[in-house]
Amino acid sequence: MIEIEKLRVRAGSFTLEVEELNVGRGEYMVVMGPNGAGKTVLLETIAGFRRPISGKIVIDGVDVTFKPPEKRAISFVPQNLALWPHMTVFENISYGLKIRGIDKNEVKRKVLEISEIMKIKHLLDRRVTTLSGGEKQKVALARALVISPKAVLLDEPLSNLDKGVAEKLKSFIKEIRREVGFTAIHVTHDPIEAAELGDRVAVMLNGRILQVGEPIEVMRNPKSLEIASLYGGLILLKGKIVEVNNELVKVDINGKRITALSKAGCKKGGKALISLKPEDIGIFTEEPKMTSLRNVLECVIEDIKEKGSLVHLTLTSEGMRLESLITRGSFEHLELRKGKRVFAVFKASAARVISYEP
Amino acid sequence: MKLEYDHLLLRSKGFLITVSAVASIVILFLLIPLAFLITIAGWEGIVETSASKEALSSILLSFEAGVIAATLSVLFGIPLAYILARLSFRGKGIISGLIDLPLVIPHTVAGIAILLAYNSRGPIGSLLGIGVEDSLLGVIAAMSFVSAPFAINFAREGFEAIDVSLENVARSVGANAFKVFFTISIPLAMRSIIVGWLMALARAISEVGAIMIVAYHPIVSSVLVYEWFTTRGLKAAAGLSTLLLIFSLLVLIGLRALHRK
Repeated sequence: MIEIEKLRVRAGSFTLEVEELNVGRGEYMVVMGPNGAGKTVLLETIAGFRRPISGKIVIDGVDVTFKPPEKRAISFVPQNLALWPHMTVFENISYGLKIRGIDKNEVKRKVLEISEIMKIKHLLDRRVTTLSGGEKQKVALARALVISPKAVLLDEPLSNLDKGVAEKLKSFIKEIRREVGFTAIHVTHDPIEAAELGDRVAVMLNGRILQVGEPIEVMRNPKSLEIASLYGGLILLKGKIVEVNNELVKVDINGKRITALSKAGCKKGGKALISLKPEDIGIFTEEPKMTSLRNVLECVIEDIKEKGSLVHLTLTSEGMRLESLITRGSFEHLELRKGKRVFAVFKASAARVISYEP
Repeated sequence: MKLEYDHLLLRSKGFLITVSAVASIVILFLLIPLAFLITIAGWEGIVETSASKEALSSILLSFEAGVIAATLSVLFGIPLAYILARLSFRGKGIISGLIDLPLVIPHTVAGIAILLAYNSRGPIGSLLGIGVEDSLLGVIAAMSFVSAPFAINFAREGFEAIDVSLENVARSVGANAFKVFFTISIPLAMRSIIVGWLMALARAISEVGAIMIVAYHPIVSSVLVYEWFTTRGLKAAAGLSTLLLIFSLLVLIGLRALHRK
């Protein structure tokens, strides 16, 4: 669908160099990297706002490297959303259709259709300046999708939103994808966001793409220390849901059962991706009492790294890799060393289902 | 919505008094001459002038030519304003300086320059078969010369205030450069463009020096004030001035009210 080859782009003193990046039809590709990695430059080049020095961008088999943006059928949603303040929501969404000379009734039908899906029908007559952050985001997405583009480029779409709103919008994007099915390249610095939304993630650092793969694979097998550090020890676990009980689910991971916070729509038999942070994992040397709100996993200490007043432990538990951050005090008190058998303990509320597939 | 703390400075008594005192001096400085003007003209003088066909037609001509000059300045100034707002290139400072030049040179000098360049026997005039001397065209040319900087500079500020992403996104959803310019850039800069047009109009109507040199006739009100001052005396000139003042005020207030809608 989108094929990028040996792309070199200069932006001021910064140079972007992408050897290769392919995004399949209907795929949701997340480009993840820290600020200044060149993610926005990459999107702007794909959108046609920047000219590369060399290399090729092919969309649907057509070389668009030097085509103007309007001839690419790629919708760009910039970080500031760029909604037009002199227009209503309806006018914003319908702009791309009207510009194509589409019949008035057809324009109206299409705008109504997408607004229905986006649940923004009640906002159509509003000025965009009066909308909330989440509403603006939806309008920008509707404006991008209504023209049925070959792909949508999203630049940090969730970074300016309150946490709660961002969470909702994430589920919303997945829902819309199921309903409309679009190809996307989504840029973020947040590894959880990447894991939650991305079919694949492309890790970007200093203007280069260093690793591409399924989020859980990249997280488990980072090609370099730099990539690993982007995840900040984030733990992703994938398993099958064996029990749903109100807000909690039991997930089977390689034969081990973990209780985690559920997500809307989780059903028994589905696959769940669970995120966990190292600082939420406690270490016991003797087996503690197991409860339904607490997970206990027997592990072996694989590696120990001291980080100032904290100690970072790498643990394995029958093919599962965990990490834990504990204080130097408890590290010394527990007399931990490499190869020792310990019990990793974390609350059900510390493990969160971030992604679900039926 | 105005927030309470907007007015924190002016709530301090000492500050308020100081600021108001200086502000009053400025207002008085501007109003006193006008008051003298109106007093010397007198009610009868004003009534008499408004009955003068010559006076009325000169005022009308001022506004006609002013509107045309301001509109031309805006229409031809917009592309230049856009380039200056969006591009950085070598010599940009020089071009910006050239645009502001009409603001600093004496307008008699501007008039002489226009007359030399565009008279009917000059190379450009004879080529196009036109001439600025003693014609409406000359009045408009002189007015445009002095009012263009306002039209260009205000439009430029308007364009500069538009985030580039607003234009880029329009391209990405399918509009070509011309469409984006007319549907996004111009409407978003419209407020500034209109203010620029108003300022250009105001400047055009008030012009004397350049017009007198290029096209004394057809006579516009500002030139007529000068003529009456030299031939009929102070009282007649004051009468015409007052009438012109009232007209200008009405037009400006009317336009601003329209604009606010």
